[in-house]
Amino acid sequence: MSVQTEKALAASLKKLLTKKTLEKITVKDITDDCGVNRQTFYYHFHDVYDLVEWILTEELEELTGEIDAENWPERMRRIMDRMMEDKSFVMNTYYSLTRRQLDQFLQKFIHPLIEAQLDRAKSGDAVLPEDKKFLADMATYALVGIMTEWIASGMKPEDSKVFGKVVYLLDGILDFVVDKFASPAGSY
Amino acid sequence: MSIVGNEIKRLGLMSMYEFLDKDPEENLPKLVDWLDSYIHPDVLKVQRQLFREIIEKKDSNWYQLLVSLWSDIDDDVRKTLFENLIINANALAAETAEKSRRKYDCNIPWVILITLDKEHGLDFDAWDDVIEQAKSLGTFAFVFQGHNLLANKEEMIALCNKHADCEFMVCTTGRYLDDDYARQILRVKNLIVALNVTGTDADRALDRPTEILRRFKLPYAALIQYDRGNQERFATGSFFDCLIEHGVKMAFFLSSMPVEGDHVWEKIQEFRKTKPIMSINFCKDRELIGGCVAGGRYFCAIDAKGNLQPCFFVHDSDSNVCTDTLLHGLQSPVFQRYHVDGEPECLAIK
Repeated sequence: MSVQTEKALAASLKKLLTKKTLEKITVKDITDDCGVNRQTFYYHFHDVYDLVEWILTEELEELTGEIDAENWPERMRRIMDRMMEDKSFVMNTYYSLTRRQLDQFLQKFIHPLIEAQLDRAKSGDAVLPEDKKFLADMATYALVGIMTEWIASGMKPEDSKVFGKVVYLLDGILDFVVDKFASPAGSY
Repeated sequence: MSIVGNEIKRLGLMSMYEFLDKDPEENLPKLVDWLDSYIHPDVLKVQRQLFREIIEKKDSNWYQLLVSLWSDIDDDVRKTLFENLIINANALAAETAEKSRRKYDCNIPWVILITLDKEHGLDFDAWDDVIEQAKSLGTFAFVFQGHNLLANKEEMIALCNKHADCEFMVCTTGRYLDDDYARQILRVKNLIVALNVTGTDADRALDRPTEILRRFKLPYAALIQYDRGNQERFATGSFFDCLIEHGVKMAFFLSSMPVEGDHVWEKIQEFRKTKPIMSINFCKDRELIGGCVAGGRYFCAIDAKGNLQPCFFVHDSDSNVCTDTLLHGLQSPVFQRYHVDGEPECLAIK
């Protein structure tokens, strides 16, 4: 029952975001739209930003849940599509969070995905954990950087092709860099 | 201090906490040195001195109690407790409260007792507004009381969740406490349960709530009200031992008896030297709690109907938070009696 309430509040926020910006939306606006009282909202969330974070977490978890070596380019595509469907929510989130907060949030999801890719590479086991983390950091920063720049410049559909290029690049390159760091370890 | 200044102060204090959390036994003395240089010398002077004595005697009952805060309490709850109680309610709020005190020429309480009553009392929005007003004046600690409090879970958890920068305590028999309740407290992290203890066979009912609270690694306290008639139930070593066995780390004793003939108060002072439990007596612990706390000096109460009352034992009221602001209530004649230099005349002890 509780998740239902959270989902209903999330739907109300998304609906309101098509009409006004995040900082102009009050908890009262959301609860009026949803037909619950402020108490119910605050039972679940600290404030509007807490609800935003909940939405992001829910959706990203859903999208990155069953990702594997084969489907990850397609999953990335779906993440981008979903972001474009929810453009007003994503743009509003972008403008209401600091760049640092957004980076950290996206990194939290992208980093494990990249790590999983590195683990699957042929020589994955031969790479030191600290090197593996370094390689995952590199790829995560690249992906998150491209993503946030795309959002910042207005999420133009024609610019989303760049993600295809990133996925294409990482797909080949991860195996290569893992090999490079596997033998002989520590030659840098 | 400015908002930016406070943010820097908070970051400094939190990084200190993280340092302490890594190795409490090793780093605690260093933390106390550091706090002494950080907080104004007059803020909590007696308390900090006492704290220093505790950490310097490693074989003492107090030291055992302190170390148990790390072994028995959830890491995030302990961190929130530190952030809300030490940083927000004291280090940062003290300046705001002092400014308000001077500006408005009235007392600003450290803690406000809120009486919840689902059927006949103020609702969430009204209490939320009172808490917002209190925070702007410099109060960041609140205690809930009321009948069947745990049966009205949503309102209380919602208030805690919204005011994540405040520390809350709920006084309850614990009868309605269950796993889901404990789970919600663990989620919001800023609610301490204070269990009413009667010193009779009824206390056996405490086995259940204390088992739950202990399992979820939540901090809890005991609340004991006594008078001439029932004081002998509490003035024994076995009563204190029973609290300790139930995992109680802090006991609040409340009584309006005079010092002479108060046997509980005698025992509290005796056991404080030997037993690993922190007992505080209102209002006999004048040195520890800074004299009379009433009239907003440290404490005030609001009943279910919104009447502002000066003391746990004195229910006079000439203001109501439904019809006027909290500030005007604190400036009202009933509260001004307590806004004096030195000790106000006590209207409670009879």
